[in-house]
Amino acid sequence: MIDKSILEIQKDLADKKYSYLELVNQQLALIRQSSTNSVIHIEDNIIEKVKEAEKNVNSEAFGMTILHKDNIAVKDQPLTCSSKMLQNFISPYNATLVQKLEDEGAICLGKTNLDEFGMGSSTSFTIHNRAKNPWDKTKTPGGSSGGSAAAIAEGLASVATGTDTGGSIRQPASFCGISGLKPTYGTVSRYGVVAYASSLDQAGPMAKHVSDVALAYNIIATKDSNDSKMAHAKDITQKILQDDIKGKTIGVAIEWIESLQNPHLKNYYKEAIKTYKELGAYVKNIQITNLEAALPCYYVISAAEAASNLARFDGMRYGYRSSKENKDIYKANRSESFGNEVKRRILLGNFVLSSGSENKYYQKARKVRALIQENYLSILKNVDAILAPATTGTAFEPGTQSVIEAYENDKFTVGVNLSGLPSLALPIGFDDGMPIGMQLIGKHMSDNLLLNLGHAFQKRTTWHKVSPVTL
Amino acid sequence: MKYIPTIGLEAHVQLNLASKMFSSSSSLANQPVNENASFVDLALPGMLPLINEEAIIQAIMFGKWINANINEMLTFDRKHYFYPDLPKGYQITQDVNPIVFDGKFQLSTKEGIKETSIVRAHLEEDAGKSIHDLFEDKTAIDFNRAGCALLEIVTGPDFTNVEDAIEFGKQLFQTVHYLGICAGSMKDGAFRMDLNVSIAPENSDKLGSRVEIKNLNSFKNMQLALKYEIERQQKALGNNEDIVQETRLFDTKELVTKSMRKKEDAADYKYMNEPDLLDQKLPIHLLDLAVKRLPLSPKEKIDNISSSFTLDERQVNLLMQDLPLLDLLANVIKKSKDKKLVNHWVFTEYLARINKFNSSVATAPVNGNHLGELINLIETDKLSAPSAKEVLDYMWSNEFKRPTDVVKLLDLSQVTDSKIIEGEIIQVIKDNKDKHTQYLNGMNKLYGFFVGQVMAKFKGKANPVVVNKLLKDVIERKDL
Amino acid sequence: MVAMEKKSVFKIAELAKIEIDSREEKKFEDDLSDILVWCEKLMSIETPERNTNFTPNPYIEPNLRKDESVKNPSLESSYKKNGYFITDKVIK
Repeated sequence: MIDKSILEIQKDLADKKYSYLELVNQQLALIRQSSTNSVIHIEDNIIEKVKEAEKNVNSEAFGMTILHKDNIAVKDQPLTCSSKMLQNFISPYNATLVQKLEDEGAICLGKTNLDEFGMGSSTSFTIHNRAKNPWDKTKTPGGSSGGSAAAIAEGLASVATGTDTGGSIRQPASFCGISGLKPTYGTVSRYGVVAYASSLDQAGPMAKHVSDVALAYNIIATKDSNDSKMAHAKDITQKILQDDIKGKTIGVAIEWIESLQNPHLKNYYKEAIKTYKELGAYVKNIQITNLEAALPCYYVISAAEAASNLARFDGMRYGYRSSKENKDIYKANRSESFGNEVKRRILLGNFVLSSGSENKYYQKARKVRALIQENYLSILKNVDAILAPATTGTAFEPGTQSVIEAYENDKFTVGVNLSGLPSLALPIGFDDGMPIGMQLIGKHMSDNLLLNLGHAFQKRTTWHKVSPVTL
Repeated sequence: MKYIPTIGLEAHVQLNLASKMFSSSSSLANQPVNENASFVDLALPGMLPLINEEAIIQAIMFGKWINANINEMLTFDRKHYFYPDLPKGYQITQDVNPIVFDGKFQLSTKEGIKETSIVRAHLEEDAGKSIHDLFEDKTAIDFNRAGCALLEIVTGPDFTNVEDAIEFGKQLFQTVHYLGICAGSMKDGAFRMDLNVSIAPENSDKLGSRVEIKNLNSFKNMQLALKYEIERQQKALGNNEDIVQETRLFDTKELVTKSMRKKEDAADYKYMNEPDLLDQKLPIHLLDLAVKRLPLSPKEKIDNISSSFTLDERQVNLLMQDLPLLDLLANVIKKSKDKKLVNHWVFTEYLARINKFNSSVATAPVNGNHLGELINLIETDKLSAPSAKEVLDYMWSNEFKRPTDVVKLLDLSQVTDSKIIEGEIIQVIKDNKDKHTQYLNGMNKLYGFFVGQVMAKFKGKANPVVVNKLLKDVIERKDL
Repeated sequence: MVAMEKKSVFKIAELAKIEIDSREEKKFEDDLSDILVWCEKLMSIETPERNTNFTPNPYIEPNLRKDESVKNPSLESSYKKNGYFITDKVIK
């Protein structure tokens, strides 16, 4: 059932081919059988919620089974953020995006695995067992939204949410052969999304079908009075989604593609470009400069904000408390419960903010950030979307990279977060059995256009319909 | 060697709001513990701050009042440190762009008006309250106060004597209450002062090492702390010791300043622009709203009063220094036009009780409306002056009652009925025949005796003017 | 050349309230040094001075909250006693 798009499922439900409860129970059974550690909490207690949803069979997300990344608050479900600090924390409230989806009839089946607090690109920095790529379990599904990406690839739900601060939706989407949207900054409320880097974080939907991504985005991209940094997103109607893309211009980041180590990958990008030409889009090469600067700029800013955002985790009001005697309770509570990657980021963040370093890195990074945004915006003046790789290759084995190598995984994605732009990742092929993805980057507030371009691509290709041999 | 002190002040003023600075929890004081600590206040994961519009308006009002610059930009910063009463591990404050800067405060002193500088005033959130002695070996924290809006007002190092510094504190306190931007008492922590003190030789142009004394919650303690600290520094310099630049606390039992547990170096607050709040231009409509809500200046109010009620210089000075008294007078004048009575009852009777009960006009149990009504009763002959004193004393010490109600309660209605009074006069004369005869034979000073007797009959409630008028005639009668 | 000195790692760890045990110490020093070298790349980028304030999205609309108090739910927590949050004394 689950390979179908939500629109198709809604039709099935209307035709009474099966009931919502049957669908949900089937998915829960699949989740229990899964061996990728993609789902770290299964929510069995859903009968009441399904009954509630069935009162409004015409609501937009009726029939949508959903999994939320475990750094997004779902009431009465764990909110561990894959950290020992929150391993026993049950959220007393719903994130706004969770509430909106629930109000429209979506059923949350549980929470997915992630790198601790969103920091990482392999979903192996986690108190739960590391998540595995369903296409090859020796490889990572990517991160930090690796659990959500793997779960979608395996067909455990229609939609899964992720968060993308430096690529954490797009990279795992690419590694797992699914679609994922990092929305324009400010279009999806951050209330209830555990903050990693406040000026970079955006939560977004991941699914097999771009049309499902669009459906979910349309529901969650609404202004929220609990978040004071919001922009008013445009509606994504079926009309917009299905719109003909003739005449749209696509700029290809040709240097990035040429820089890929694996020659086979380049062919798939070229095929994707060809597809867009066949669809009637104009395609031209563009050049993105400042690539060298984007990564350190991202790491300085995100570390500073992360260090600040994680200062609240001290075990005083909730969270982990050390049982050591005679200690500095702050140090004990925090040091015993944060993983090494998180500690590294906190230390880096404290360093760049401290008066000892005269703040020079942080101040410089803020200026470089403005330059990077200008650069993207000037390219986007002349094209509707930029087509680029989201990753430097296909999924890798965990533990094979140094710290800097791991950071460099994000080189094609961080510029988008620094600039606040939207980007849609979607599958474009396979290499050696492992999925390859691309991203489409747009101007601010052009999420609907990207979804339109993505949907058009999926009407013409079948990469998104391939599933790993599972359970 | 003569040393001159240099004193600067910082006031933390709790703004007069229904909710907190960045959350919608109630900011009411003295509520059940942690009842007003929301998920935002407790810094749960995923929470976000939301700016209270009214706090902005109140800050602008203060800025306009002191003729300061109002910052074009509205931005906030995070100030980081770890302490149990600071839930987020940082305080949201304004480091880079204080909402108000470069203002002037007109300080009324015995030597006239002194202009003192307000370097900046900015918005920030308050921390919770730690209580260290409630449970053995544990710290208890109440987060009701965490997140309440504060306006931090910083003066320049403008004060060279303790009296002016204290007077500034008092007048600043009055000002923020007068503007309606602060509603609480110092005792409740709604107005807290930090002092910066240094001393330097008389003709030196360099300032000495600055010592900060934190969290004084009464003007009395401020005075004691300043006096002690200046002496301490003088003694130290006299002994050729250096003054350490540090933060001290005032011990309210031993009445001395003490060094706080020293950390290695100055705290590193890792200031960072607040990324959860939009850096925005200060909305113009808030400027307009703030200006509209400004009350008349004291001078304007005094001018208004002076047009119908002459004030002498002493009274003007007093009113300028005591804005609640000014408001009281304005209210009294609405109810009573009798200049003599108003003068007496406000500047003598009322102020005497203020002094006697050691309170302030702002917190006195009798306000301008009540006082005005009381004076009006005297004015309209419904109450005698001695009885009015009784009523005022009663109102001061008891649960609120309007003057007319107290008069009824204490049965103090003044008697003005000529027939009744005349009747009593006649009775008194009849009861004191020999004294009456003596009076008629020339002992004029016995007149007072008869006045006293008549008044006593009425327990002081007879209108003395009527008594006098009638007695004058009746006492001359030879037929009684 | 920027290297994380041993002393500075400890100082930063103090600031961050993170304890690094001696085993991890060297690795953290090395990792942080590598990261800082990498960050030096930033310093060589030319960034012209300008006055405009950066925003991640120019379409974000300013949003202020009206001053109304709301009764929000309290946090149920096992760290509370008689309504207070209780912790070990931070400064003994």
